[in-house]
Amino acid sequence: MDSINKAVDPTDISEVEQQLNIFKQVYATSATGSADFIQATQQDNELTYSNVPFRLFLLIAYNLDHEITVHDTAKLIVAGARHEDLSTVLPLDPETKVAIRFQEARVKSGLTEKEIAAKSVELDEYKLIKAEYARIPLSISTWAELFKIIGTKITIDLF
Amino acid sequence: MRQFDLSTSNILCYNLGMQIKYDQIQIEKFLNKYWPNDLFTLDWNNVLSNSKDPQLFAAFDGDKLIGIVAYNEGIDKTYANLINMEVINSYWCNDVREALLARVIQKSSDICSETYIQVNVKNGDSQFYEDNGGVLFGNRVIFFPSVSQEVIKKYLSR
Repeated sequence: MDSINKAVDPTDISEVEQQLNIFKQVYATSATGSADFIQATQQDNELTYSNVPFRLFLLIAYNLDHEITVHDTAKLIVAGARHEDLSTVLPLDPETKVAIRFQEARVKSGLTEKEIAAKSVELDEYKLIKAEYARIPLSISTWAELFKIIGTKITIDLF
Repeated sequence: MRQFDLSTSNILCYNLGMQIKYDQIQIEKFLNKYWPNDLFTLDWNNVLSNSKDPQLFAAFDGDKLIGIVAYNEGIDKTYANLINMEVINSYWCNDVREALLARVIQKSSDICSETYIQVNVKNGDSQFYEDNGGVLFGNRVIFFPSVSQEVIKKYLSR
């Protein structure tokens, strides 16, 4: 199926969504070990994670109030390709938005969770990882401590 | 509610007590020595030739090939991608699939600083991975690091 390997403009929502639907159709109809299936998985991963970092994609998908759809994924890919703020693309709770900002800033800083946890008064590494996936709520002062450790200021729109 | 898996329910587990060995194996050696193989349903030559830089673990009962798993590095080395796994049905009850999964997870810690595993699954084919702690997002099953560690603890010594 040639269309699996078609070049897609990642800033064009209709092209991206159409391509993701092609992958979805392949997953539904092709055998697991077939060339089509394998190529679709590779192209799907490339299109998605080249524009939305793997861990940010997980964080967002994990915290949506519904199963992530093709349309949701397409919106994230387009926003990522346009270097837009991924925390504002889909409806997410404030904790998740802060966690996205934190994860982006932490990756930019080059600091690992372990290094940050070592400097934090309030969190160990295990709790920090959970917080970074918005799996535990943190107080504003704890978030402030974490952002201070990585040397980033943020403004948060809660609504 | 979980679906009852009919495909495994009537398998007689006659392999208890067998010494099963697991080895990382070069693709060329695998194809030359063990392929084609009528005991497997997937065309592994096709799987490997269509995958980008695949690596393999194989399971053996004596000299007999009983299971294969292929994986590669994900984008930016942030995760490992499990391409495909197949174990002869009669060995499912020996946790061979789980042991192969654990080996991929352990090996992936050499690739990524944190052990995330992704499996792209066909619709409805995620049960085994979900039963072992994977989280399904559309057609992707993800093993988060904490779950990955549990799989290693439980099955790596098998």
